[in-house]
Amino acid sequence: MLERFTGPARDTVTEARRHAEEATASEVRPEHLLMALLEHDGCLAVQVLERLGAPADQVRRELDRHRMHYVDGLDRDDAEALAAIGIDLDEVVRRIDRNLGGLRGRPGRLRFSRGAKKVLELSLREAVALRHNYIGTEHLLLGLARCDDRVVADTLAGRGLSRPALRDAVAEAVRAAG
Amino acid sequence: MTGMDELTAAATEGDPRTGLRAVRALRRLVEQLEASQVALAREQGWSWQEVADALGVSRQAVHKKHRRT
Repeated sequence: MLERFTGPARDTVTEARRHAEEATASEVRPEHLLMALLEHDGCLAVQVLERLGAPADQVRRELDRHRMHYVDGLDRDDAEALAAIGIDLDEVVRRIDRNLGGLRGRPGRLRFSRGAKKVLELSLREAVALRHNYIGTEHLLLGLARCDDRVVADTLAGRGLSRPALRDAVAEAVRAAG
Repeated sequence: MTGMDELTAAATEGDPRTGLRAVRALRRLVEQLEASQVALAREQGWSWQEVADALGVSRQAVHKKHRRT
C-alpha cells in the first residue's frame, strides 16, 4: 500500500514511529500519526487545517492536552470502565510512577497498532472516494478524522474540526493545488 | 457510594461492554507493567530464573517474552 503514498505522506508514517519511540509508547498509534502530520510544515494537511482556523501548533497543543491524561494507549473510555470496577486509573499510574519507576515502552521496532493501520486503510479509502490515485498527507488527515481513536477524535473535535468540514476543505485545496 | 458511582453503576448494570472494556484496559496495563518491571529487574541484575519465579511462570516463558528487554 505504501507505494501509492506521496513523499510527505511516507515521511509522516516514518516520523510517526519516531514520535511513538520518543513517547516510550508500546506501539505506533493514531495520535503519533497526527503528531507527525502536524510537524510537516507546509504539507497539504497543515494548509487545510490552517484554512479551517486550526493552525498546526494549536492542534498540537490540543493533542498534548488530551494525551497527558492517558497512560500509553489507555483512554477515557478505559478509565471509565476501570472506575466501574473500582480502579482509579490516574491513581494507579501515579503510584506506578512513584513506587515502581514508571512505565516504559517496549524496546525494539514498534509495531503499528490496529487503530493506526486502520487510519492508513481509511486514508486509502478517502483517496479513492475523492478519485485521487495517490495518498497524500491530506488523505491521512481525513483517515485520522474517520478513525475511532479517542485521543485523536477529542483533539479534532476540540478544535472544531468536523469530518465533513475537513473533507470539503481537502477537496477544495486539492482543486486549488491541481 | 458517591452520586457519581451510583450513576455509573446504574448505567452499566448488566452491560457487558463496560466489563469487557475494563478487561481490555487491565490486560494492557498488566502487559506494560510487566514489561517495565522485568526490564527493571534485569537492569538490577536479576536472572531470568529469578524473574520467572517472581512472576510464577517458567523461565522459558519469561525469556521468550522478554528477551529483547
